[in-house]
Amino acid sequence: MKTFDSQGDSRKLQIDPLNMCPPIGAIYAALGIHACLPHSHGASGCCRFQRMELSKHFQKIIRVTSSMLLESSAIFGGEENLRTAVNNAFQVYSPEVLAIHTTCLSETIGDDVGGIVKNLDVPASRRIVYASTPGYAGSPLTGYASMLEAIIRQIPARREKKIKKLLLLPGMLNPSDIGEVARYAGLFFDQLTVLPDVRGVLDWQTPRNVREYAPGGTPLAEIISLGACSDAIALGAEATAAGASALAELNITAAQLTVPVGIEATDRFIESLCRRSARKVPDSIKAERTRAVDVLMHLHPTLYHKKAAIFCDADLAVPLTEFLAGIGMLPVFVCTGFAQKAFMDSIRAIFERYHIDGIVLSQADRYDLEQFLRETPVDILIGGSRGKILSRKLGIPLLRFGFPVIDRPLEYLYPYTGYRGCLYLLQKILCTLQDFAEQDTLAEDLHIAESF
Amino acid sequence: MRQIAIYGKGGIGKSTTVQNLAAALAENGRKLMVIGCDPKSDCTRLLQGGCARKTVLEEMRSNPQGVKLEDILHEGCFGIRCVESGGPEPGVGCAGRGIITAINLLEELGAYDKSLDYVFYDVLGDVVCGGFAMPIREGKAHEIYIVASGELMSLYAANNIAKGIARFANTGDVRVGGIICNSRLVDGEQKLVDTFAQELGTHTISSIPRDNIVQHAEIHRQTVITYAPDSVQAEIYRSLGTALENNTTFTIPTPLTQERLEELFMDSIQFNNKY
Repeated sequence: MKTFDSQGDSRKLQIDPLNMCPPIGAIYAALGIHACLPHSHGASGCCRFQRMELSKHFQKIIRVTSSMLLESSAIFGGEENLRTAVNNAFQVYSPEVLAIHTTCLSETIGDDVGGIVKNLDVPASRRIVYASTPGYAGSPLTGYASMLEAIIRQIPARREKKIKKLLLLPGMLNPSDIGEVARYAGLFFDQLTVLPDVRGVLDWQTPRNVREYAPGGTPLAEIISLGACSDAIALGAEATAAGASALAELNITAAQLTVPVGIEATDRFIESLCRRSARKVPDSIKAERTRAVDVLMHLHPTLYHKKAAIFCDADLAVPLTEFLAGIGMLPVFVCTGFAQKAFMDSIRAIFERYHIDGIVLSQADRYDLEQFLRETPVDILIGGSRGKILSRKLGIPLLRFGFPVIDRPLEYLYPYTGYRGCLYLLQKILCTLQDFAEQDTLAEDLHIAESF
Repeated sequence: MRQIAIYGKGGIGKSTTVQNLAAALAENGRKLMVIGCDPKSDCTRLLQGGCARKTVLEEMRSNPQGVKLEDILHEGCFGIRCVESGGPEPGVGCAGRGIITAINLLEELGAYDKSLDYVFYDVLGDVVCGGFAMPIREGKAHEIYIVASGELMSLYAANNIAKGIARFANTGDVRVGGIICNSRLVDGEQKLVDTFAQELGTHTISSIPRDNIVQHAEIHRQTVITYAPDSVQAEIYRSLGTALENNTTFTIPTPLTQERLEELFMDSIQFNNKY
């Protein structure tokens, strides 16, 4: 196995980190509940920047309230602020659910948010959930995982009568991807809950009236009766494993899968749906798969042994690496910011299986990526918008993928998951490569038609 | 599994008391874990025969993703499981956050084995921030014992700590199980501490007389239970163990006012009529 060290051990600082902080994921998860207002228990600057990141990705207003902790709160504790904030939030914004997450500050001063929440006056039929999400520990996926686990532990009623219903934990995916995985699930299960579900929230205009909420999101009633679900599938271990294991309290055993990006990962998803629903795979899915494989076979020569460097969240990086390796590309460098140990193991297993002499790094930064790319040029860079500077500096085309994509609109509307997502991803890869290949060609030398 | 937190003024004898108490209980067949919640990481020295190898936080620092339970959970005398949270050196960082992080990790690693009879949290003397209240948050310690002597400052500190505890007790399940009087040979000490305990809404669960054998044992890095098992002091720690096991007095503390506290002391010396 190749090793790589951009002065790793002697370098104690991160240069242009690859991930944002956990509260962003916590906010994302919270927004997937219908009429939910995320609340940041921290100083004002915190949620401001986190909202901006989501705003830029979805090009819309994101509403998050803040405890507005001041210096006095840092010294005397943030309880008073939190109480006032919660009261105000319910009065002014009237959410059905208030989802509180903590920040670096509130975690360091050690505010016992759970204890504080227990003694708050919650208006009837409203709920509060709270999650511990210190900004210095983890990635957005970590924060998402904590909030999802909190929702599952704190809202559902115990002892629900079971019905044949699937609980789908899609992880931190774009609304269109949630749509795809829900669509597949819907072909196997008549009853389905997607938790959390940002469709109709993040891909929907924010209502002008601050007391109104977008129509989407998992309804509170469905979350309360979560225990009625007979089966569960969780996508993306970093985002959903904690929530999945919390389902044990509701007597639900969840299958933990990778996010279904690529043929193999989608196959595994379909297989799991098939087994759990005891239904046959419908012809429509078979047709989709056939088309995807056909197209793949056709395009394969053009992509064969094209090298890729991937820098995105762990849950997406794993299936993406698997897919690219599977279609004959060479994902020679895979890096992410904070990730759990399983991430490294998963990528190494893929390298081994496809005999790829690749490098995988976690706790990496863009400086690592740059050092690698200077040594080993690749044909395509796959990750978020912040890679564009490296892309330009080093003359490598960038395929915008994952979170956040903040310099091109509507990226979140196109799914990369599922068999149709494969085709879209393939198209994007090839178009990116082709655009790049043509960019310096003189007008008179351009070919009108290209064959792939 | 009973989870018990021990608080009290710095230097009053919490760690000494906890370790001797733990040894007494374990000698009697109980399965215990002692979690040191003090950046000085000196809470299990007598149980392990010396200041421990790596603390939880040190281990996390050098090996962020790969800490295993066996790296931080060490077996001391009588099979007592010992953990030291550790923390920053004086004047830097945030020890309170360290406690939160360490205890979270212990939970994640499955240190809270259901087969344990007792988990003791030995907490740093000055409970100066939220982190030091981590052991008494929801789902952790349900019982608190405050170690105090008859000295004014010691009871003042105990009273102060009780204010913080009252807040957690009012919103959760944690209760005060009693005051452990660690004697400093103060005039009228017993009565003073008893009265204080009573007004605080609890009782003196046990009184430990001052005995140099405890210091000797400490220098030899042992509890009195192993150093001098047949001594009177060892027997006293065993009685403390019994008292703890059979304790049924669990209350929400009612902290005294400053005036009342000083009055108690004034009454005490006047009663003793020394000066």
